[in-house]
Amino acid sequence: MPNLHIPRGQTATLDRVEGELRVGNHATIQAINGKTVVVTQDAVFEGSAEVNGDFECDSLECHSGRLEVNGNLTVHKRLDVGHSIEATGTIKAQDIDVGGKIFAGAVNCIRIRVGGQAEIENTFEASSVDVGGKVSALGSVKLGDLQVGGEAEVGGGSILGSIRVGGKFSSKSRLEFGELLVYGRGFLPADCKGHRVSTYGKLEVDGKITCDFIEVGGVIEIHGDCYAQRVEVGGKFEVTGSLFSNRVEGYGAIEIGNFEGTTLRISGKLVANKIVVTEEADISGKIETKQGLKAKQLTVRSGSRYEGVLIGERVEVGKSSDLSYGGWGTNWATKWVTAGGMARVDDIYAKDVVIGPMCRVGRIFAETVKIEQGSAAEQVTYTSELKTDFGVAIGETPKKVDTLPKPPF
Amino acid sequence: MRDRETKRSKTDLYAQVLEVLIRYPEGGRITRISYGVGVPVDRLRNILEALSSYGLARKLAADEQTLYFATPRGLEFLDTYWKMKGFFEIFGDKQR
Repeated sequence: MPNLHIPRGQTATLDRVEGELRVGNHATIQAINGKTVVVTQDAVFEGSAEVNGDFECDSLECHSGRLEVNGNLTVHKRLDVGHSIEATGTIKAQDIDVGGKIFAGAVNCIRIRVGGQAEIENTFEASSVDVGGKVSALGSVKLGDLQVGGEAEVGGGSILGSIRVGGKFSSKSRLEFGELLVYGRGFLPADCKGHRVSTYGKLEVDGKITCDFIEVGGVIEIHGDCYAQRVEVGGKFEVTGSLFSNRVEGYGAIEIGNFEGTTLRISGKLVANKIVVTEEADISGKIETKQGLKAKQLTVRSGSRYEGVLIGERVEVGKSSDLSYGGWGTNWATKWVTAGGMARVDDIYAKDVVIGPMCRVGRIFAETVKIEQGSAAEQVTYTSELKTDFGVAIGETPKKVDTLPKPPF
Repeated sequence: MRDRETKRSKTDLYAQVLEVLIRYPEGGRITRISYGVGVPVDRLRNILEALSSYGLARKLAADEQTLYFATPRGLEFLDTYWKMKGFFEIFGDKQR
């Protein structure tokens, strides 16, 4: 038996209820002189109800209808609402479970589960957020995990666990995140920082982003610089600024401004302004650079077309394909590449150059040069040794010099 | 998930019901699921029956109440559904 029962449709003015409170459908609770209504045990609402003032209880259950709180709501344990709840102030609880919709000024809880929709105007703090439909939290958020079936829109802040959003995800201002998985469409503002980003759909970043691991299944467009430990591309990756990454690999289409990194292993299409790789670059497909590509060890696989200057300690052109990475499918380009078709490159500046069979090269400036059968070069300038196989064509007579011209960078 | 300007397709509804169901690993009651999905109980009952017949959801009658669960196949459907929606985003397809 409840200690106090407010009958259906009645209005009660309350201050403190010792024990349990039961509220009938369409009842109204008024707080005395703007004080907080305190219920020392559970509050049970049988249906829709209105609370004018702050309300505090041990646990709260609302079976159906809409519970409206014009003030703050503090629940020490569990807040369980069948249909929907609206609070103009802050909802503070340990566990929040709402079947339909929750609207609040602010929310502070450990765990929140909403079947339908959550709309929070100001701050939103929770360790775990699980929403079937839509989350809109346009103030600052401080969350652990965020799992949303449909759409999630946050004002910015931090979500340090994992974010899984089925439909759309957007953050209005700077967000620090753990793992972000967007199946549909995502928008991030400038200066976001995170551990991992994966997308099957499209993610747009409106400025600089720093992330340990970027996995592109669909499309990622970054309108600024990108700092990442590792980038794996299976779809399309665009960076209008510079990309700084230890390791970039994949088989999609990449368009970047400048790239600075340790290793680059790409098959597919790559368009860049300038690429500087401190260790190994292994490329195949169609690659275009305005200023050139520089790497310690540089391999252009057979069947590739490279436009721009190649600079390296050792440059190999026309080597057969490495199938250890990339999505070598069954298209004609793949068959051509794996069969060891011709590679075409522009000028090469290196210490050692090896040109495989049936390749076309621009000018070569190197200490030692080896050109295998059937290949052609416009010009060869070397300081130490030139070896050519049967059927090699060189446009001008090879020049042995004491000093090689300096590479462009 | 719900765009008020466009009518949800049957597939969207199935996905939305499953999204609500996976939030109730202890089993969801039909009234609560209906609040989450935003469809009346009678219509939802048909949807749940259809999902159960496809093996995407499971119905369990216990203690005078019926509870609904998402099945592993339902989870597989959801994953595929969202991935396909991701592809539609890439293609610029307006299909929802």
